[in-house]
Amino acid sequence: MALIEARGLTRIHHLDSGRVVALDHVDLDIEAGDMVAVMGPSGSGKSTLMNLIGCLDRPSGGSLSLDGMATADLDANALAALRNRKIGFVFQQFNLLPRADAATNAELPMLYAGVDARTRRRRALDALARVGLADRSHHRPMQLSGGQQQRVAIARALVNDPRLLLADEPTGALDSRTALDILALFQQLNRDGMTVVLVTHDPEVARHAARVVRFRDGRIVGDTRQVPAAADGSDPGGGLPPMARPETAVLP
Amino acid sequence: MSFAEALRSALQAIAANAMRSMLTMLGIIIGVAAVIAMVAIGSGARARVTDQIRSLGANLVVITAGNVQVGGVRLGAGASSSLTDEDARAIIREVDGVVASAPFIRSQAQVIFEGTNWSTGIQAIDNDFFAAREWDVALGRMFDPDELRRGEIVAILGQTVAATLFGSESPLDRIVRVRNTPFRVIGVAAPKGQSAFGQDQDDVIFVPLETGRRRIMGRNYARDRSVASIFVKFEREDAMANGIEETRALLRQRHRLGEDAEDDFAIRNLTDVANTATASARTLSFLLAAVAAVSLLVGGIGIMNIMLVSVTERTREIGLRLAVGARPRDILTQFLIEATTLASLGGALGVALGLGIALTIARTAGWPMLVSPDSILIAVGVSGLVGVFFGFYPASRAASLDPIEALRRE
Repeated sequence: MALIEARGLTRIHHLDSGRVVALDHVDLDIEAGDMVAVMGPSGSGKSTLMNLIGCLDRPSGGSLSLDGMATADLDANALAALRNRKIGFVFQQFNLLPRADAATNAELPMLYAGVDARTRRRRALDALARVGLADRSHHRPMQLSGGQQQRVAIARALVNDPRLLLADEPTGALDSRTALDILALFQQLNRDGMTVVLVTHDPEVARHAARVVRFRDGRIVGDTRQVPAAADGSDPGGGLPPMARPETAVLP
Repeated sequence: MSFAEALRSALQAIAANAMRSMLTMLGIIIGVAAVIAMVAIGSGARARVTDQIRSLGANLVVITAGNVQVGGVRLGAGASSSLTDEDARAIIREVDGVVASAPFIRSQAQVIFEGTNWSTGIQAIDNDFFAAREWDVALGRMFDPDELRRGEIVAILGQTVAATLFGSESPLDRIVRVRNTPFRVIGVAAPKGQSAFGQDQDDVIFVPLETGRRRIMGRNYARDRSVASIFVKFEREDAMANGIEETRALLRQRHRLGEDAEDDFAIRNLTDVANTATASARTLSFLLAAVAAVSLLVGGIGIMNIMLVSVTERTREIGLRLAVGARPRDILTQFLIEATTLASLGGALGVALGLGIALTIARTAGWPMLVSPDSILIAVGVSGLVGVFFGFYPASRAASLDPIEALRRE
């Protein structure tokens, strides 16, 4: 069974200006251990899909199961618990608490998982070490570079040992050099077994995923597997422009 | 999130906006300070009045001879001696609810013992005086009926006089001289302390009424059986109004005053004098209670306002917390604790301010500083409740935020 299984997944927004179908009967499986880029222009439905997968939103129709659990019938508290334990979020704007240091920021999800203070601190420091910030645990976000802030955010996403890392334009606020470092980190985590879903409009980011799912007008218009570009520069194909790379159409 | 963590996070948020938090707390601070000061002043004033009434004797009325009404040229109190022993006896016999009726004459004289010379008050009394004033003899005894009837030359000393003339020695059976008359000391009165008007009530020598008339007071008193004043003690406070009227009627009848003649005596209810102080303290208390209620209300609204601002400012933080697994209930708790902490902190500062005010007023007015731990607990508790009450709306707004919207907010 796939880690994420969407069947006829539909999300309709009722706005003042009328009814907007953000996601239109989408079928999608994402296997555990995969690294998937969800691509599309704004309004294509990729963000809606991310919110649904991230249990921040509920579908209007169809079904979605996450790690074997159907999310449609869960109440707010159960969804919160699911987000807390199964999903690590990474945002474009990092969303760190400005007054808390790196370790305290990384501890945040564990606060809501009922982990005791000592274990929290230990796991936060472990996670910071994993993202290469072992020596920055007492720095506040203001004292860190953008790339370092995003690493703290990734450490925060990792502390509850989730099944899925869900990253929404994780390099959108970073320069291209730093963006590559962050993508290399995602690839490293993926090699260690973490399922990664990157939501992006940037082909340069999508190049680093093993699978690219393209959305337009709430539907999947492309689903391809590729040899991911190596963000750390070790991959020989990494220098080619993204469009020139071989893509294999899988679906539909 | 555990309570301790929520509290720490609340304190951090409050400290991060120290100035704003301080201004927000001001309403609560003033409100609580008013409550604390109010309770302290109220109980302090009450304690003082109770004390005064106790030292005076409860349910006590003093009748003075002469007309003390203001206006025109009148003789002062005691200048004309219209009251007599007989009046006093008639009052206890005929007026309902009277437990003691004590005629007395007051004078000032030098008292001499060996080399020591002391100017003190002389009160010529009978034993009803002690009953009326709820006074007692600490050493020796009261006057016996013979001494009173025959006007024997014996005296009971007040504590101050005894201490001044005799130090630690016993004055019993010693002879003191007043106006060249040698008085034998038969007792020492119990200490009574200061009067409501700041006089030392123990600076006094008591002598039998008859003795006083003959040996110490002027010729006015010696000529007839007149006295300057009568203390009348009633059994119960609610019997006093009627009793005073009955006494007035009785005295007018005994003095044969016509319909249109004015009283040739004056009746003062001494409990009233003391009660005036209670009444003004009560007025002050009500005023402070009103200030407290309004301040707490305004302070609560201030807290609600600042919490709404805080929720708006921290919308993204709330979104993030929801995304990483906070339940709406966790967010509600966090902001409720923040509002409550803000209010309780204001309450604690208010207690400190209130104690300062109470102490200042107590010092100025010269009454005891009485602040019960209860009132402090209640004040802090009430301000905490204000925080919960006024923090609930902002907190529930925070808890009902949609995480997607919240994360998107700039």
